[in-house]
Amino acid sequence: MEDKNPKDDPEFRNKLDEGVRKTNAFAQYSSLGFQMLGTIGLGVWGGVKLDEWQGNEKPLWTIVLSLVAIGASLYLFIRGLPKP
Amino acid sequence: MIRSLFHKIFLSIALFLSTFAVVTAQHDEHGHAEGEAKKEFNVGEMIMHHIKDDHGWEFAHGLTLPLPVILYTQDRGLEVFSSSRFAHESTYNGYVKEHNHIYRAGAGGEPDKSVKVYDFSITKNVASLLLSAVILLLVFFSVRNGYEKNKGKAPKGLQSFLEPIILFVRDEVAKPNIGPKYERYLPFLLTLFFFILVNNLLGLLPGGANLTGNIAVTMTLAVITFLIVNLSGNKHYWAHLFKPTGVPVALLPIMIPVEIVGVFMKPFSLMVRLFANITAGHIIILSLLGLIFIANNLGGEGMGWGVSWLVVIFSLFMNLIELLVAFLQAFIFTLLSSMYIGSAIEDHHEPDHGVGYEGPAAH
Repeated sequence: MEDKNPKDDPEFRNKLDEGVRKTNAFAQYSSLGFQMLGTIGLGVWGGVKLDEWQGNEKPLWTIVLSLVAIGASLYLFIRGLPKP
Repeated sequence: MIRSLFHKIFLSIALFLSTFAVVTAQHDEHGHAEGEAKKEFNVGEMIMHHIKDDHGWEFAHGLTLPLPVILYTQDRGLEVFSSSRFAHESTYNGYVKEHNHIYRAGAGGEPDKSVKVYDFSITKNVASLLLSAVILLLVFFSVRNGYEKNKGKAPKGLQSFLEPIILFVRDEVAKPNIGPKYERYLPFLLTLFFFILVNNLLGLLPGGANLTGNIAVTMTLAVITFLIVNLSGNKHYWAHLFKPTGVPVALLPIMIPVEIVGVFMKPFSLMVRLFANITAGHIIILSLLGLIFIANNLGGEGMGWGVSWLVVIFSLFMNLIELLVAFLQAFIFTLLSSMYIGSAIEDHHEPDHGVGYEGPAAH
């Protein structure tokens, strides 16, 4: 009997690659949410700490840094999207 | 599909629990009027007790394996005693245990938080970690010996069970994502995969410790990935971080910090995902089981029995999902680690902004 590795069959290989590609994309999507969450959280935390440290009456740093962090998280999110 | 199913189940549980919350609140008022007949069952407390670390390993109620408590304080030096000393009363030898933390006892027996107590105890999680290390070593030495014994022949026993998994990590995870230099990182990726897998599965056993649902453990794993990615990053990787092409100079003061934050957020997402998935799974199963006791408290024994068959079916189903999640999370952690490594060491610099995604066909 011919000893054949199914991975050498181009059709099977293509299907397998497609599956791997989909899985990789899924894995990347699943980490993007946590990355956004972490980025925004870091920005807000940094802003609150800076305001505390400077004793600001109006939480300017919190406002500015949380908005910057939202922008940064969107930027990192778009950049982190898997390539088609 | 599984996800939407998951959401539906979770939603129904949440709704179910929230209706009980109102009923319990009303019940409370009655309870006080009647005088406290039985001890209040607290689901939240029960869940936290199961998912948190502890001195001493409680397999079942009344069956606790005492573990060594190792303390270091500046004035008294190193002290070692059994965790069973805290079993009946919370003070021993000048130490107080409160909410799983050990403090120096003050004059009146209350915790004196001004004295720094370094706690190096072999806790439940540490014991589970050591157990998993022993399991991994035994399994993989047996696999290694198998390759020596069956050289040139078909694999046997454990070896034939693990060979496809090892080859899967090599061929479908490391090779396509890291590229030609994959062999250097394979030991790390395989260790990562099997460590997370074995600890996820150990955590599913009744009485098991929730090791991969401990954020310190997942943080350690993520920090190791972070170090490997950044220590093996080549000049393209660093150039991309500090000298991105096509970005106006005026934007650099914003872009460089954003890029640096992005570098830290990758391992952060690894840490949070593993922690959140495992902890959430444990909480769902435990709250399902808690329903029996809530029903028992509300409507007596009959209601407890009446609810329990439904709970058994649901928790069985959740356990199966957890089994899937145990494999999936080990796989995803390994996959993303290899993707991050791959993006740090790729030779040609493509304007793909360091995502480093290439189809598996590229290699």
